[in-house]
Amino acid sequence: MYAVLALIVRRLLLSGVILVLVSGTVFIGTEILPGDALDATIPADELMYYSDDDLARMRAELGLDKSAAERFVNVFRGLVTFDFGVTLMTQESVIDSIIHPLLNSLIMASVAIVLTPLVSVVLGVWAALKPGGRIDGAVSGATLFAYSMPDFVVGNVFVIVFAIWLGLAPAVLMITESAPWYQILAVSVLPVLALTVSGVAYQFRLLRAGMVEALGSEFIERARLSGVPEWRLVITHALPAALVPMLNGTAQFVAGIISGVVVIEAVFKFPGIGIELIRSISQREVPTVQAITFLAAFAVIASNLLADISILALDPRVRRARNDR
Amino acid sequence: MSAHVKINGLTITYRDDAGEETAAVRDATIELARGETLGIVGESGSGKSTLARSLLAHTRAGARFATGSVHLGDTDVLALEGRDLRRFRGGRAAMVPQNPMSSLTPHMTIGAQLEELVRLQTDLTGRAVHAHALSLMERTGLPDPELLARRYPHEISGGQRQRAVIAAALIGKPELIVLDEPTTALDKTVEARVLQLVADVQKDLGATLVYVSHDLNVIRALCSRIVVMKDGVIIEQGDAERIFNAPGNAYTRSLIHAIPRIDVEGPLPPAAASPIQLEVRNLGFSYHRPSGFPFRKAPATRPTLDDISLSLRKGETLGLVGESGSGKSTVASLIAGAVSGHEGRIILDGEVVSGAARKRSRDMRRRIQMVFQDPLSALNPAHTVEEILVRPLRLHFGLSPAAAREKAATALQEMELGPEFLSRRPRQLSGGQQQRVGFARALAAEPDLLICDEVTSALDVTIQANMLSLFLKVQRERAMTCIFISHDLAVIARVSHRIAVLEKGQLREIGNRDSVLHTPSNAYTRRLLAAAGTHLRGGEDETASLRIPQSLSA
Repeated sequence: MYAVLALIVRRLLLSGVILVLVSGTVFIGTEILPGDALDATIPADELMYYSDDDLARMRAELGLDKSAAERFVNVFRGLVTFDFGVTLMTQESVIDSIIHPLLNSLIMASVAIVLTPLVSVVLGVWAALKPGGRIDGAVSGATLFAYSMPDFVVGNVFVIVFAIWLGLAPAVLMITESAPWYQILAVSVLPVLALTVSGVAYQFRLLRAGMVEALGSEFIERARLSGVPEWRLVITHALPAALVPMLNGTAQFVAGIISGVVVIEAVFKFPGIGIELIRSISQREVPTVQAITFLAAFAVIASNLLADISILALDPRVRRARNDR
Repeated sequence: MSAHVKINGLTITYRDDAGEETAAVRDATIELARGETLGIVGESGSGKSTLARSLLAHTRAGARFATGSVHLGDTDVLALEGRDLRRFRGGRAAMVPQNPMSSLTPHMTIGAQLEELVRLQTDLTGRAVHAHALSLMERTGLPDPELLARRYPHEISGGQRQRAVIAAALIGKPELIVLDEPTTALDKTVEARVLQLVADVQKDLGATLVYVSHDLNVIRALCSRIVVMKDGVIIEQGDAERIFNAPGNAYTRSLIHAIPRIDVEGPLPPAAASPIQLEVRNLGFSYHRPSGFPFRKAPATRPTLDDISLSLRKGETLGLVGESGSGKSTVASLIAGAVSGHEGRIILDGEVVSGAARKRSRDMRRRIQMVFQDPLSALNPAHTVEEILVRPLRLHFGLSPAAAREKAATALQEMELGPEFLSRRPRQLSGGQQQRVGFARALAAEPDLLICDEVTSALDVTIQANMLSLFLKVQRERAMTCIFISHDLAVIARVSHRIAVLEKGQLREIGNRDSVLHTPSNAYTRRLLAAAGTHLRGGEDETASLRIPQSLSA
């Protein structure tokens, strides 16, 4: 137990360091974008009505005249305390402006994140029961194909097939950001499916490889020769061993889903955080960009931590390895 | 009386990489009466394990039963299917596989794995399941079953794991027990105790026993009948004592002759009054366990090595013997510089050697060479033998490519390999050939001290015998100073002038070969000797089915 605690504490410390580095990277990223918020928001034909003094005054109001280092310290102090400040142009709280899209995306992504490993496990176990068999061949082939397809292709194919040909869903979602959660959930079906496709493909391959290895191992052979029925061999002896590599893949998938969300939301016009991110980047809405990327990094780190803890729960060797020598 | 186990004209084939069907076992016929003990011996690739697995109607992936039949009593074993097959396996016939570490499910506790089988093979339910599992653990001599049942396989020792596997095999009260090299991965003293357990259990159940091993000593101790296999064919079978005393086949003779024996002659003594070459003074070493928190060093654990002092004269071989965890390989790693951070001093020809190999002069690195247990992982698989040998030659002696190549061929010649091997890669060589290349590489550097760490442990007995003869020849011709490390006292007895016994990081005994072997002064040495000699004496008590000294069965 002590070892597990120590491991978690160490991971948390490491996560803190990573978050500092991420906020630094985000700041540099927004800093090197050409122009600043003022240039980006004032159209060129309006710009001639402002004198240089006016612009300088407006910059000062927005805090854009301070040195980069000074601004970074301010931004950093805000980010680590989850105080994301106010938007540059409308002066409303950043959190208020992104909370609805954020929740919408969270709903969609969580469904995809829960669904993907479940589908992968079912397919992986099914295929591994007879490696090289017909089911294995079909599923392996289909997932290899799906894995090689970029998210935007999958998304567009779904729009064409389900929305345009079959007419089962609207091609472009007409729903407001602040719609209640069940409505969001209802329109999430296609985006979730699109997100799940590549995730399942990748995790299925990891799980199948793990299952095939486990089913060929000596402990399975011994259990089989002791009269353990096949389904028990698969579920209680082989599956937990095969889940470990897949969970590492799941953590990666969660990281990938955040970039996937941006693409898929753009394809379906889903009112989520991805659309919000694209909008705020094009408007040089720096505090919003910083808030979203910081939260994204936070989600990735949290999901990795969660995957590591699940692995600890599944594999006693990792759990007590530190007590060995 | 009809036979209890009957294998009739059995051929097992498998598809090789080229898609050709090859026979792993060809036309095997064996009959055993109930309660008989059969040993199947053979070297790696002889098909002995494949034949043993057929008794439970099992083949590994890619193999199949081509012709023939297997019967246990009236049951046609190969015709069993589904539920009947599952009841048969673990019920009437049980298997104890080779490697106890990898044959227990790593994420299930010992108790859970036993209870699963108790539920499957008996009618017990509820609390009785747990109680029965515990009683079996007690039966197989596992200490504190209640505690051990909650442990995971990696948390108990190798001997305990094998006892747990044997406990699992007993659940269905089998009438046939098949053991596939069950003690190969265990230390000798542990092996003796596990063998005793197997013999007891067999007698209790009155079961027929089939024991597969490459180790003739073990077979002789345990079995009344023997089958000798080579390349998938049974080349000789019959009464054990008859085969040992008068083998009818040349191959069987060579197998028996190759058994390392503790009562062999040792090497010829080195030249008298040669100077001291290596001195180790008060060598100590501890591994630091990671503390779990950054920037904090955990307190040192029990030292891996504690105050070891020894010295070697030029041309002398010191045999370092001990069981796993004794620290013998750590001694090798420290002297070779593979591990740094020791206490005490290592002195070669009067010069203090620094710890890490990186800090040593190039010449010092040349002067101490090491040969490893697993040649395949010690030789770069991407390089040809020529590249493997030429590189150290050019590094140490600055030879031109042509001269280095010539010298590489000479080095191979010394290990009795022809120049045609220069262009091969490690994977294209047999285990014995790989180890010869390992030796050639070490010897090409013309070392003052050669460290051999379990160099024959992975080899078959006949190949091991050749390797040891070759080692003795080269050692003598070069008057080389060697440290020869092995867990096998018989191997140590063959090559050593002096012997050092290590246990738990401490030097229990060091002395001349003959005095250590014949008049050991230490209790642990005596136990090692008893375990190694287990199968050699015997014969005094014909009623005992097993010739294992009582002192070991505790």
